[in-house]
Amino acid sequence: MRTDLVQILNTVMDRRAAIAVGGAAIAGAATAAAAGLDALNPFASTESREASRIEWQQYFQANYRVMTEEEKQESLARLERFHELRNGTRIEVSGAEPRANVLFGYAFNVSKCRGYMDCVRACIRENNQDRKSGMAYIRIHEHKKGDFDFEKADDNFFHEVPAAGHFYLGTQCFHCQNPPCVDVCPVKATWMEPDGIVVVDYNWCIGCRYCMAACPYDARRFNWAEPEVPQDELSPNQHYLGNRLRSKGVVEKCTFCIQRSREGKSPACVEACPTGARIFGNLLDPNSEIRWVLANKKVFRLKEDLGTDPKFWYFMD
Amino acid sequence: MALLTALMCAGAFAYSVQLDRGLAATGMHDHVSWGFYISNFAFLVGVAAAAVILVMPTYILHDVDFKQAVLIGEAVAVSAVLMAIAFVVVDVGGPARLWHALPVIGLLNFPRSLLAWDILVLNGYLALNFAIPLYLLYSRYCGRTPDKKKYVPFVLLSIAWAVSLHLVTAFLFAGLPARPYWNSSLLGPRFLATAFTAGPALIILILLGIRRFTEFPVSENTIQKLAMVVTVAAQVCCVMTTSEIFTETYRTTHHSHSAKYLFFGLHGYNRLVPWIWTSIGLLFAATATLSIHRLRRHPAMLAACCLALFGAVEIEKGMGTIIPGFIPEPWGKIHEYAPTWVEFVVGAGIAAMGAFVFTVLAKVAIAVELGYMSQRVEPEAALSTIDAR
Amino acid sequence: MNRAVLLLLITMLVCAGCGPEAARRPPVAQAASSEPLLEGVKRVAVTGHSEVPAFAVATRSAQMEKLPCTRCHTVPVAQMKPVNPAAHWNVAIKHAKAETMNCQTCHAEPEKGELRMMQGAAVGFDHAYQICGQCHAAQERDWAGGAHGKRAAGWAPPRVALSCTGCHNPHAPAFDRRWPARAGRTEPME
Repeated sequence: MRTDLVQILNTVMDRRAAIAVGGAAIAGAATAAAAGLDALNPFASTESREASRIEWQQYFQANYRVMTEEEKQESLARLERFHELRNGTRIEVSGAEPRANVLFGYAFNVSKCRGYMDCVRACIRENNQDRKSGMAYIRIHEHKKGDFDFEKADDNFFHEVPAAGHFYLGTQCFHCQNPPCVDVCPVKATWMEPDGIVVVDYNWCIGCRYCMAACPYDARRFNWAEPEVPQDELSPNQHYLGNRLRSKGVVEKCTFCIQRSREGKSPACVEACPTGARIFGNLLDPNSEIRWVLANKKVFRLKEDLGTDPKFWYFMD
Repeated sequence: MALLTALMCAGAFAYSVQLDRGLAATGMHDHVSWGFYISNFAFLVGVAAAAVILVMPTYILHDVDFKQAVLIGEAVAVSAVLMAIAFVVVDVGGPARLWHALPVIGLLNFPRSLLAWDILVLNGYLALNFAIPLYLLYSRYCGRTPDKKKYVPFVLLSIAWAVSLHLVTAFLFAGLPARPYWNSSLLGPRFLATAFTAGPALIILILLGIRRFTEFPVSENTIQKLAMVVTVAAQVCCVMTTSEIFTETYRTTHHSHSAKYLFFGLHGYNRLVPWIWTSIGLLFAATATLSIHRLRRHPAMLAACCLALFGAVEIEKGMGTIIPGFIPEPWGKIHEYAPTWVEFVVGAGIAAMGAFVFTVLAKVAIAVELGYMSQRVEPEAALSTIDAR
Repeated sequence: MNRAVLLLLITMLVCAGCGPEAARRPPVAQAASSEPLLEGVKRVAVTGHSEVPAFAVATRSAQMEKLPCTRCHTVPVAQMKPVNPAAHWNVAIKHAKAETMNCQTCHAEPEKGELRMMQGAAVGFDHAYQICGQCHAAQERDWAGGAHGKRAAGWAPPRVALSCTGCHNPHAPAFDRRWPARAGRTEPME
């Protein structure tokens, strides 16, 4: 009896093997289905057949987190090939892993921001966000001096900046160390990477939007319709968990430009900011600027009472 | 039945529009990211959970009065759960990817995500409410006495399950500190109180209809006992509503802005104000009426009050619970929400689907209970109009 | 037996709940470096800031057209004939009050070097932050620490900061008022 149970438990515990078997079965089914589809359509060109086969394989692919290295490479290659088939241009989709001893953090200098919105523009371009709906990960709030109430701030200004008697403050995903959005996802389509970046597997997200309800910072965006990105404005250096093209019905968000930051670059907003209000770096490196800011400036975070532990601080000169 | 089928077809068409254009076809946006669908989901889970009010006394206390109504109650539960599930399915952005939530091949975030809990309890509740009556009816059909050992444990389970079903649904919202309007320990009890008001009220309406149009015997005692349940639950609802309004208005903080928006309007935005006061007015008027014994015993009065309470809860859950949680959004801006025709038609289609399922189940149940082959076979049309709600 | 099945079910659920995290591969051991991004960026080590970890500053002199000053300034300014009075025509000083600052405040003796501290020491353009820091000591301290200013590239070591003049025009250091970038839509799409 006992040995029976142990055996059963062992079988269950080896979940990866189970997934591999299941995955193989599904992949087999997918190929068969795709083959069936092709057979039914003798007039389809080789390209469109290949594209539809890729779509089928993408539909049945596993969650990025449980993929084997080989499966990851295949899914990256599929994304590149699919884009080439559809648009005739080459993109590069990376699966760069996090680095050891790196935990990203961000600081925002409220004294420096002047509301130029260069960060927002750079972010939209870099991250291939939908142009049609005017999606933006970053919001810049224009506060009247002496009033920190966000309700009274204007996040939709369009006039010469900085306006007299106002100060500016940007919000985006704070990459909470204790993220409520990750907790609530019913299918583990969103998670925090070891380097602290909260990411979404756009192929696994079912679009229930529970994470959007759970985020106290309005960090998440949903693709209500098929997103549109002009080909000539496309940012071609992409990451699976970052700025690759999304489809309708999935949630997306700021990833600290994972496609850039994992390569040592700063996020697009940091690079674009003309006033140096944005500081980004490695919280585990005692020599980094962000650590100096945390140690020497009077920093604060927003809605700390919620216990989310954001890795995004504000400070003033 | 033809009308229901037509409505279902219309719903399917509207859903195809939504699939094609994306959820942009609805009135939802990044600030109010849940709307009509999830509101109805929350409401219907309550209706489904209320079936327990019939199950408990019947199976545990052997209450003869409730026994007559129990199969109808379970049919209501099954169709309400099906509708609730359908409302979630139409709300997700990638319905084809729902297999990601299946065990083994998918990746369910259990036990961390309350939505994962809800997926499990909804399907479990559906199975229980389908299986228990099926077993009982099948036994009766075969002329056997149902074996208690076989079904009583499941009945006990289903009672606990029903309460937890609605609590889990409330926790789904209450567990979000990001939305202070929901993040209250009153939300769970309030969900239960409204469920035990609206669910039995609906069942009373259906039983009154069945008594009028079929031979199925529904004693006055059954209806009066249910009416008692409705009255007490509605009284609790009144207390809770008052408590909520007091807490949110006595000293207004940023956390009470959603409530302020709902009850009084905020910064000139007041789309929900007339609705919520209609709901509160109906609730208090019907509760006061039902609290007087003589009025409660009057069938027409009872029917009117049940209708009023059902409407009050539907408005309260449908518009007064989910939507104001998103208004104002986390940084205090107000973006209002109004459903589009797509949402209404899809919703009507799902309601028709629920009514269809209920009609079929109730017909089978009544037929079997009446001794399987009754002489009269036409109550179909009557039934479908009764539960068109 | 029933109990075993129940246990099995619970185990399955729990495993479904926490399996994948365990399957994570180790992160990339190689540390990130900004070095590839700094290709072509000339830099010099910052001096006078031993209170912070050593860092470099992107050079300034390579981008300047009229260096060295001694190409024209062979004698003190007072003795120069106004041969070409429009040599610095494009410089308009909007920096502090006129009675506080003029050309001489920073460029005291161009015939002896590029910049000059108030106490007389010569400073090269690449170390202009020392000149600015005479008045803006708080800003210089923040800049050295990393709270003010920008990096030449990346977040990873080595740290190469832009000098004050990387962002500010030294003759008119305040930022302009201007219209914000069009953030939402770019050009209308077909």
